[in-house]
Amino acid sequence: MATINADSAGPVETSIREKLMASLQPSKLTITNDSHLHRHHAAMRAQGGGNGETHFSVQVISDAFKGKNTVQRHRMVYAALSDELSQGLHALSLSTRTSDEVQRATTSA
Amino acid sequence: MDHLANLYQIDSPDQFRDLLNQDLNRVSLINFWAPWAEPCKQMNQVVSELAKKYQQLLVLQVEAEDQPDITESFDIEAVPSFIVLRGHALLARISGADAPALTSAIATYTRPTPSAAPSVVSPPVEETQEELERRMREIMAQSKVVLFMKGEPSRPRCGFSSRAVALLERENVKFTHFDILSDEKVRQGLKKLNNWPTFPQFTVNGEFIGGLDVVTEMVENGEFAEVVGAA
Repeated sequence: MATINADSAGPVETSIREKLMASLQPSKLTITNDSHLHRHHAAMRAQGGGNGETHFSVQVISDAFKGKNTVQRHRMVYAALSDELSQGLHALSLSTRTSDEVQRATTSA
Repeated sequence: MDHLANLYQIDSPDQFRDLLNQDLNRVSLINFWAPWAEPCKQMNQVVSELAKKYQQLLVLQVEAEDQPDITESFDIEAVPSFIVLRGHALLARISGADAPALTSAIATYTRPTPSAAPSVVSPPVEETQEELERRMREIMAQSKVVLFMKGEPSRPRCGFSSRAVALLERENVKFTHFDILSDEKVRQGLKKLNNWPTFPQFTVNGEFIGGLDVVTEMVENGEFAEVVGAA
């Protein structure tokens, strides 16, 4: 099997990407693997340090979020990833914005 | 301590593992203690009483400093600490010499030894789904703002929970907390009830409002002040 190198996406990350692309059609999707920051946690230790794919930061820019408040947007992401969350995926740090909101943020002084 | 059939002093990780593996349906209580810690003396008495009362409970005494591997694997930071398992599944964690919490946890997950063996094997659930839901809603309403976190405000057991506490303190919001590590039923039940897979979870006026990211954003856009401000 190929050795795991720090830059390649593991199966969980790949799955997150596929599912979010399919359900939210984002204009931009950034996934960062934070798992190494949480290795020492007891829950991770019980899983043998986790599989290196337990904690992610995900930034989604998608117009599917229009008209929805933050809780609703996060629920959409959680719903798309419910399989992963019931397995090794332990936590997600989410940023969910529409393209308009990003525009407004970058153009304001 | 009297010699009790269900109480063991653990002297090796192998012995520990073998005892647990004998019956994966059995509820066990692990007592992490140290001879130099005064509160442990009293709690060891409590543990001994519980072992007598609940003979089907497997009680394992672990002298924390002698068994660093076992102690670390449960993330034990202070003695006395107690872990309740069914097989290898975590049911509850109690930190400190909290006799009422320990007694209540053991009562919840076991039954006193019945005089006749039960003929029907049914899961020892003392609490129905309805009762659990009612209990969770009560906790959610125990104060205007409740933070469901891992650990407690003075000792959070996860970075996200720690940030959640910091956020509430920064916003000068009075709150109470519930340690979801101390009750596995509530932990799993809340995920379903609030349709939210992670912790920390914030509730205001008995209603779930979101996790850390959500509330952080709400603070930024002023929504949080409104939600909390409303009497």
